[in-house]
Amino acid sequence: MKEEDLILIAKKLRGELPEAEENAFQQRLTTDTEFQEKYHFEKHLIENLNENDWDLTENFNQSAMEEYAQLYRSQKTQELKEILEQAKFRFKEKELPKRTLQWPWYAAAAVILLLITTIFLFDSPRSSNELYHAYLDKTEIPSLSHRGAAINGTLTQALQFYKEGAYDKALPLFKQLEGSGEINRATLLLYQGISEMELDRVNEAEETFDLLINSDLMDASKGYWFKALLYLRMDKPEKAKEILEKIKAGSLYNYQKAEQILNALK
Amino acid sequence: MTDSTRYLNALVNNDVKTINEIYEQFYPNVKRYILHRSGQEVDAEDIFQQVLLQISVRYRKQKFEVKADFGGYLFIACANRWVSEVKKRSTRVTTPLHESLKDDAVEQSLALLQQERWEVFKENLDKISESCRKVLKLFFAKTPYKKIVTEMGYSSETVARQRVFKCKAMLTESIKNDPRYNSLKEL
Repeated sequence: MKEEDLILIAKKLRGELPEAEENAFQQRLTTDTEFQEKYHFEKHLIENLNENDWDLTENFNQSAMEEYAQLYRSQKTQELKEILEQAKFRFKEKELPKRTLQWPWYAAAAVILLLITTIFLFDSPRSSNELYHAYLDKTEIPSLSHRGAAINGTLTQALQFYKEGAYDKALPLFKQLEGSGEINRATLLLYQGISEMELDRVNEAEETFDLLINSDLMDASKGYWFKALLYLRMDKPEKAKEILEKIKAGSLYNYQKAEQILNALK
Repeated sequence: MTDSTRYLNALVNNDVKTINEIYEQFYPNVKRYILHRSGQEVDAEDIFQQVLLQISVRYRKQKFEVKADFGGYLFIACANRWVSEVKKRSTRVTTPLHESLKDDAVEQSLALLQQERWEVFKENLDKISESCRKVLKLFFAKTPYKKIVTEMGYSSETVARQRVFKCKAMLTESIKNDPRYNSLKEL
């Protein structure tokens, strides 16, 4: 295969193929078998070897699949399933005494839950903006300092500004870091989007969350949650509802909270 | 008998005592990982069980050795399963319902074969030279070429592209020559 074709395939798989070349690429896939085969193999390579991706292709040897399926259906596997279920409960029971030691926290959580429920029951429907403030937890984004990423000065400063609520100062730094490729991109996009949202730069925030949603990053689905919150902030409950329904249907990130908001918006 | 073999045998012999030990030893790490990556406790429980079933079925079909320790092997299999689940969930919103109504045994077998295929790719990647492995990891992570140049100390983007091209060709050859890759493929 020609090197130019491999470059073309790599561009497509890295999302760098210009829109104008897309039709010709698709056409080539349907007419050129060698090109098609190479494309699928390169796709396998990326999806198997990118740590945040997974190859869901199902083109397996049928007899190997049937052999495994039979083993799954066998009596022995069904028995193991039962044993694993019992082991799970046994483990959870053992964990219980540790949990009861934390009862003051559970009691506090129960009181908060009761308060939230009471508010929603007796004071509903809540305004979009109130829901936004009730559900936006700016600390729920994972730390940026894990997975071996070196904490550089820019990152420390950006996080400090973010913590202080100085989003106008934090935002350019997050954007700068996003291009560096050193730090978890999904998390950076979340910090960036929340900063834009808090600065009422709603169009930019919408674009940032869309970028995350349409990416193949592992945490892409978190984009839906924050985009829903953005619509609540913009007082567009109908648009928020659409996304919240999607989160609920797909059991995506924070789907239980999405259900709570949907109930509150009824 | 190594610890790994002891755990593998326990899974095929339904040895309750050792299976309880597997839970106590290895579940907390898996749970922490899944909770940290947007999952819920119930997800962690499901993934852990599915992977243990997967290992037992695989070991029953053909005995194999765990090169690293059992805990590490189990953790990676669980992490893979969770990445796969997240990807499935993110596409399920637009997937027609009938496609998600596969027989559970078939669904689990597919996941198992996907794990086997991943191992073939990963083991072949580990076989090539360290510098090739490094540049390809950056490439597969969709790192911009500009960044690959600085990271690898290349003189230009052209050099980076050539290096990726050569390393990828070596990896491709290695995978295609691996009998496991061909036996997994649809005939």
